[in-house]
Amino acid sequence: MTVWFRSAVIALTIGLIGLSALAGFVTAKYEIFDRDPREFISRVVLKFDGPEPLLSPYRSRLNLDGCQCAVSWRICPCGSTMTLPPYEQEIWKQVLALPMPDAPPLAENFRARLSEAVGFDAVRPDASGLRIEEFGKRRIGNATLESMHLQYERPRVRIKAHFAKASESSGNLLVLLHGVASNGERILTEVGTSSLKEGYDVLAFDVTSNTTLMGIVNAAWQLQGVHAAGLWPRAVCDFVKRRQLRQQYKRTVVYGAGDGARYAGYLANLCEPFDLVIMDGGDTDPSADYPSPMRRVHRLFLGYWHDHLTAFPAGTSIRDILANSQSRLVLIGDPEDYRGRLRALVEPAYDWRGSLEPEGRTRLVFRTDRKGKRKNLIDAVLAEDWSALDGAMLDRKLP
Amino acid sequence: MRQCIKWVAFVSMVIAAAFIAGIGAHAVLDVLRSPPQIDMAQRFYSASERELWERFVSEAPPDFDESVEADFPELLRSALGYETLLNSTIRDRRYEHPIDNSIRELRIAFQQPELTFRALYWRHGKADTLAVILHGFASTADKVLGFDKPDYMQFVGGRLFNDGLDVLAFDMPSDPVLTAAMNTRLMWHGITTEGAWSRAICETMNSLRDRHDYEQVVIYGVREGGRYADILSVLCRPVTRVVIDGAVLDRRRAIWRDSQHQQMKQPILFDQLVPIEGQTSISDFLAHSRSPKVYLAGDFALSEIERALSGNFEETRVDESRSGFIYKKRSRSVPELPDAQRLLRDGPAGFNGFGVILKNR
Repeated sequence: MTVWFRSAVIALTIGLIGLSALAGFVTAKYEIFDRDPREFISRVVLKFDGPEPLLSPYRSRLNLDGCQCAVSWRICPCGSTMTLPPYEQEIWKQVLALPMPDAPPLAENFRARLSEAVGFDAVRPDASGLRIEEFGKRRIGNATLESMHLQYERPRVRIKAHFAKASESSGNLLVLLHGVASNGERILTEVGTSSLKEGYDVLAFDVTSNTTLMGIVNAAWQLQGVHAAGLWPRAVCDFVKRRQLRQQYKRTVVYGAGDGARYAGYLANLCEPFDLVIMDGGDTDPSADYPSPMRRVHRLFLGYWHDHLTAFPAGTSIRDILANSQSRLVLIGDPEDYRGRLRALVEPAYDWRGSLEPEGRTRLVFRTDRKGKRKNLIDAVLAEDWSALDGAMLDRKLP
Repeated sequence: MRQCIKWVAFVSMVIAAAFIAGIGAHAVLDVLRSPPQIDMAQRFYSASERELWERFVSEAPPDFDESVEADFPELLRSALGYETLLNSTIRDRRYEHPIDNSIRELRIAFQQPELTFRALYWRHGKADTLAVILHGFASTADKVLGFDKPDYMQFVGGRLFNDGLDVLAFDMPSDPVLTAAMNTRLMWHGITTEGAWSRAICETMNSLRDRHDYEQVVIYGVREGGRYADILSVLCRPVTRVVIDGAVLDRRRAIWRDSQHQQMKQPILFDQLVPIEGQTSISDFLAHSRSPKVYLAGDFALSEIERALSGNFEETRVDESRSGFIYKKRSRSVPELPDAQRLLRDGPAGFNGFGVILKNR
């Protein structure tokens, strides 16, 4: 035997050994011995058995290898990387071409619709039956911070609240709702500290911070008719009611940032009135998502921030949130955005006045980008020092 | 020669040892890896959010209400926006096939909202039975009839045509991501994807029945197509038989489990105009079915659903009831063709399964 022949045989042998080890690994990974062999055989047989496909005007462009459903032989829905068959493209174009239906200047029965859309009344128990457990107490600066759990049965969840009580209370309460990628303690430190110094007691809740995660949880919670976007406002409402905070405090103000502002808006509509509700951001109109349903589907990495139980966004507008609020509202946002987008949105129901005045229920405060000004701005809004702020007023023109 | 045989035997043993070593390597890696109960890709910004998630993934699904809703058809209609699509017209033209002239391509157009659906209709001319085939995700009407590459539908439409039946194969939603996107857009127009397709199928089926005077109409839905067949059994005119193959039977527990296992990629697929998913179940689809109906499923799915049904239904022999469940020989969701064909032709007599009859009715 020549050296070349021997080398080839040895190489072949090593290759076979490697392949064999790989086959062993794959066998174990895909549990091939545990499965019904017909499952695999049928896939192979499908390629050869049965009628040959007749000639088609459409060439198949489905790539089943990329479809999780086909790979695992389980039932959809699943993520899919397939390309679209011709008809799918056709119906998709038809659906995309559908014009957005007009929203009326003000929606009818808006509060009932909103409540149903976020499952506000489906949360159990109600305020009278809510168990509140204190589980920690410590000092932060001159204030005392109590940590509490609110125990709900539907959905089965324990909501954490942080209640900081100023050493010399001025009889005012500030409720804080944070946005994504934050938590109650963080917003309490960022926004609540200066208020504590001014004698406000501050109550902060842990609400949604990871929207992907809550999107998944909501998909299950919707089977019980409840939803995170309704649970958080409900928790605030129940806590305030249960602890009779409206009676204890001279003035109760709610401040929400980002997604927290959206919950604050819902709270202003669905709960008994607070003295003031401040929405810092969270003023997107429901119609903003209409042009791109795919973005809605792919939003936030895994899936979708599953935002309502019903087709609530259709036929509603940010106008309805403003018009149906039971509390006085202040929206904080970018001046250009408010003068352009928001003004066009609200004008069917409101008259726009170019300055902030002492009397009025709905105010728009223009945010400034200058460093250090944000805290001053929030402080001025809390103090209702309108002369120190730049903004606009909205006067209802529709009943 | 002897040395060569020894060499071959030695190499075979080494290959076998390598195979076992590969299995062993996987087992070792599996042991070293901690069980992925929580996806570490998830970021928790607060202890309470972490606790919420950990409780959610570890707890069993809640006890769902299993009672039968008296006004289920109305609920289903409003949840799906079934009545929203108006003014349908059905146009047909020759399907461009080089050999067979009897295949028609139907376009079912609605004016409000403006949507056009597609179906293929393969006709003998004198058949007395119409089979309506509804595929699941990742298939097409062309594949169902055998005019395109084979898939899990295994040309069932073509085979039924060869058995002497006329076949209507509908182009159903094929991509789950796109279907979810369509659902969110259609909901602005007061309809869901399930409502739109169900309505289009029902209108087409009724029109063909009236035009060609079929003695029998059977509906066969596979996987997601089975869900549509289930809806049609409640909302459409009665047919001879509805066969639902490999669909999810206990949707609420399936949705809950998929969420817990982070398999819920497209929750808006399940969005409805009125959220009835949580308060309704297969019991409602059985109790309010206007047509005899048979579900085909694997052992696990059937044992789970048998327990859930025991409160509302009495069990009988599979051929003694209008509604029945038949065990598939292979589990999961691939049609078992000879059985499916026999079931569509002759009914459930002789199959291994059980029937159900609503109690106190």
